[in-house]
Amino acid sequence: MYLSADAMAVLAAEAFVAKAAVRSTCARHVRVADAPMVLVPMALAGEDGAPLAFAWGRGPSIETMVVVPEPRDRDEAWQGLEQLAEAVCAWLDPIAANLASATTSDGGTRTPAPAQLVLSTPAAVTFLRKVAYRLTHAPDDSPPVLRRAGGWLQYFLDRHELAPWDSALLVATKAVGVHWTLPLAQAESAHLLAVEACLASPGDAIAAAHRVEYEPGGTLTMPEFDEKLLQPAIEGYGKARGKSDREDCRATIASLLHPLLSRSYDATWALLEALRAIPPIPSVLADRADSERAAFERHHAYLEKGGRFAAKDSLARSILLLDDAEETLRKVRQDARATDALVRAVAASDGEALDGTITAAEVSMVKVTKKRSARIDLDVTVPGPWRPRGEVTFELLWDREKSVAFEVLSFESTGDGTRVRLRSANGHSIARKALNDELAVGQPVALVKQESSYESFGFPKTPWMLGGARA
Amino acid sequence: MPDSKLARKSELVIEQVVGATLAGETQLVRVEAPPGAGKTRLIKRAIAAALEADTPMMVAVQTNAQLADLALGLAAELKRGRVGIWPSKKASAQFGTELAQAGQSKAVRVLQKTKEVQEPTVVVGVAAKWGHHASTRLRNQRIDRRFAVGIVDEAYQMPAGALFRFGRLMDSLALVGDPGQLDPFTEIETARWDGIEASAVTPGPKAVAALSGVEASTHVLPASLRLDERAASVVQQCFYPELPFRAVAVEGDRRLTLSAGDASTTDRALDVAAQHGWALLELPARFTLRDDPEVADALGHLAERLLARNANVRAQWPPELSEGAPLTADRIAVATAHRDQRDRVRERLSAGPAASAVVDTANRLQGREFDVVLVWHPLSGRAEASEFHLDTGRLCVMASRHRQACIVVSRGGVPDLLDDHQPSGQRPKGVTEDREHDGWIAHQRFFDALSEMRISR
Repeated sequence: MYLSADAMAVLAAEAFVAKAAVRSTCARHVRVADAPMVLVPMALAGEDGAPLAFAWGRGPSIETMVVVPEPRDRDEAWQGLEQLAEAVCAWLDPIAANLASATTSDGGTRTPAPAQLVLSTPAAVTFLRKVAYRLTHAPDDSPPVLRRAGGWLQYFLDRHELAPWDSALLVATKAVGVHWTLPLAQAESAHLLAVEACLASPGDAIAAAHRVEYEPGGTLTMPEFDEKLLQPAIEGYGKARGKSDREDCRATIASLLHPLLSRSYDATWALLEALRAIPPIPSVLADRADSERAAFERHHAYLEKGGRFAAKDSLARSILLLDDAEETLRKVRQDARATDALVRAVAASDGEALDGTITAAEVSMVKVTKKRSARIDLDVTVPGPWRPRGEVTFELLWDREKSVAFEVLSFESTGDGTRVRLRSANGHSIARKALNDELAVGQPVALVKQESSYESFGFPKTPWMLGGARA
Repeated sequence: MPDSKLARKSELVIEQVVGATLAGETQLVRVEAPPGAGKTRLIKRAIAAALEADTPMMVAVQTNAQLADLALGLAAELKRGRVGIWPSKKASAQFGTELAQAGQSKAVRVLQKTKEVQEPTVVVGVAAKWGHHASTRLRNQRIDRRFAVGIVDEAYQMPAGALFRFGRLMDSLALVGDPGQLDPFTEIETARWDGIEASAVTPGPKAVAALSGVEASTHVLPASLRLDERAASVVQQCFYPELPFRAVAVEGDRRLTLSAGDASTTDRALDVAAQHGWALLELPARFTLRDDPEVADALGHLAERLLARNANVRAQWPPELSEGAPLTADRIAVATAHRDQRDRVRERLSAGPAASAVVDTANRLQGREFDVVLVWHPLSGRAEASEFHLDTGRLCVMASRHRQACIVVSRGGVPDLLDDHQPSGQRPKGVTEDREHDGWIAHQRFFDALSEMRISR
C-alpha cells in the first residue's frame, strides 16, 4: 500500500528470482503489542458462519481453546460463543476502565497500551465478522455479555474494514504483505502456513510454501480430515447418550482440532515475531497508538450509552467513520514517506517526494494579505531524473514543529541530476534562522507530498435537511 | 446557424431556476444539467440576481480551479454589485494571479479573512472550506452567518458527508449538477454503505432528497452549448437515456480543419474526427500493463499531428472563433482513467510541441471544456472489465469535454471483452441502481456509435 504498482512489480520479480521474501519497507509500520489477543477461529466447512472452535492467548502458546462439538446445533453454538464473549469482555472491559481512570483532570498522561486483536488471515476476519454480527444481534433474553462482546468485536472489525492499515486489528498475513514482497500468488499470500514457510525458507520459499498448501491455512479444515476424522467424531457426539459419553466425544473432537489450532496459533505468533524483529519508528507508532486509544475510548463510550449496532449506519455515523478512516490513511501515508527511506525513494521516483541537496536558498520579504512575511526560495539538486506528479504541494521534513509547504516553480536536468526550484507557499518568520542551519547551502534536504485536508468536526445538524421543521 | 429556438428555451429554464431559487417559495431546487448546458452561466445569473435583489447568497464550488474561473467570469460580466470570493490559502497560492486579476475588477472582492465573510451579499467559496468553517465545534474562525439561499455547483459530485456540513448556513438550497458523471470518490472501502439511502458517500442531492422530505422543485436544462449535434446525439444516447437533451450547435456550426495529411492511421483518425466529430483509433489487440506505452505514444502523436497539420477551429460561439482560429496545445486535452496513464502521456508530450496540452484523469477533467479531447479508453488492453473501468460516469466525462472532436484510442478487442463480461446483476439489498450494468450498456452503445469512425492500425 505504500509503494507504486511499478515498484511492487520490480520487487515481485526480485522475490521470484531469489525464491525468497524481499523486504518492501525499511521500517515497521504497524504496531505489535507486547501481549496482543491472538484469536484463531475455525469454522465448519459447508456451513456458513458455523463456529467449530476458537483458540486464543496473549503469549506464544494457546491459553484457551473452546470447541463446539456440533456447530449446527444452535444451543451448542451459543454455548461456545458465550465462552468467547466472556473472554472478549474479560479482556477489554478492564482496559476500558483503565483508560477511563487514567484520564485525569489535571492533565495526567494516558499510558495504557491500546488493545490489539490479532487474526491470522483475511478469511478469519470474514468469519469473525459473521460471529460479531451474530453476537451483536443475540436474542434479547440472552446473556448481555454476548451483545457487549459483539459490540467490542465490531470496534476492531469496523476499524479494519475502513482503515486496513490500522493496527487495532492486525491481520498477520496482510501485515507481512506490507513489509515483505513474497514470491507467491495473491491467494497463496493469504494462506497462513504458506506465508510462514515462505518467510522461514529464504532461497527455497516457493517450494516451502507449496509443501504446506494442503494444510489448513485459513479458517477451514481440509476435506479429507473432515471426511475421515471430523465427521465421524461429530456424528459420534450426536449419537452419544449420557453426560460421560458426550464428554468423551467432545474430548475426541478437541483432540482432533487441537493440533490444527496450535499450528495456526504458532504460525500467527511466528509472523508477529518476524514483524517485531523489524525496527519500528517509535514516534510514529506512539502517535498512532494515541489515535487508536482515542477511537477505542469513543467506541467504549458508545457501548456504555447502550449503543446498538444497527444493520445500517446512520448518516452521522458514516461521516464519523469515513472522516476517521480518511484521516488515518493520510497520516499513515505521510508517516511512511517521512520515516521510511525505501518508501520515500519510491515516492521520489513517482514525483511525490524529493531527497536532495540544497544548492541555493534565499529568504525574501513579501506582502501576504496586508502584512509582510518571509518567503523561502530553495534550489534543490536531486540525483537522476525527477519530475513532480501533478500539482503537488511538498512538505519539508525537519525537526521544527512548524511545517513549511513548498510548491515546485520549475525543474531542469543538470546532466546527472535534476535541479528543482521550490518556493514556500506561505511566509514563515522562522525561515531566516533556518537559513544558517537546516536550510544552509550544501545541507541534505527531504520533502514529501503534503496530504492536507481540513480538520474534521463531524457535522452540525441542519434540521430541515434531516426531515425536521423548516427553519 | 445555431438552434436559436432551443437556445431560447434553455435561457427560459435558466430564468425560471433563478426565479425559483431567489423567490424562496421552495426550500429545495434541483437543476439537472447535461454536459456543457450552462451550469456556470446559471450560477453567474443567480449571483447577479441576488446582488440586484440584495438577497444574501452563498455559493459552493468544488475545486480551487472552478473558484478561480468563476471569479474571472464574474469580474468580466457582473454589471452591478460586488461579489465576495473567499479562497483558501492553497487557492491563493495556486491561482494567485487569476484571483488578483479578478480582484482588480469592481465586481469582485477577494476576501482574506473569515470575518470578512459576514459582509458581502454574495460569497463564493470552495465547499470544503465552507464545511470546515461552518462547524459549530470550531471556536475561532467559525461562520455564524445565515444566508437566505445556498447554491452548490457540481452537486452530484459532492458527497452528502461534505454537503451536510454547511447546511446550517442557509435557509434554502439549490443543487446544480450533472447526474451522469462520476460519483463522489474516496479511497476508503465503502461497501458497508451500499444500499443505504443517505450515507457519507451518497451524492449530496440524493441524500437531501432521501432525508429532508422536502419536495424539490426540479428543472432540467434542455440543451448543451458545448457539444454540437454530432456529439450530443452520441452522448445523450449512451450516457443520459433518461435525460433528453439536444445541442444548440447544429451541423456546420463547428468546424475542425486540417492541412493535408499522410496515409498513416494517425492522420486518417484525425481526418475522420474532423469530418464526424468522433474517431476511434484501434491499436492491435493485446493484453497490456495499465500504462501501455504504445497507447501513450499514439495519444501523444495525435496531439502533435493536430498541431503539425495546422488545425483550425471555427465556431459560431464564442465570437472570436466565428472566423476560425488556430488550435493551440492548451485547447487539447488527454483524458485517462488512471494517474499512471496520465503520467505516461505527460512524459510522452513533455519535450514536444504539444507539451502544454492538458493531460489528466477523468475525475480532474470534470467541469472543464476543450476543443479537442483525446481519450485513453478505460478498457484498453485489459483482460477483464471491472466495475471501476465500466463506470458510466468515467467514460461520460471523457466523451463530453470537447467542442470540436473527440478521438478515442484503444487496443482492439474491447467489444469482445464486453461480450465476455456479462454483469452479474447482483446488488446489495436496497440498491436499485446497477452501475456496473449501466456502464456495460453505455460502453456497448458507445462502441456501436463509433463503429463507423473506426481506424485500425
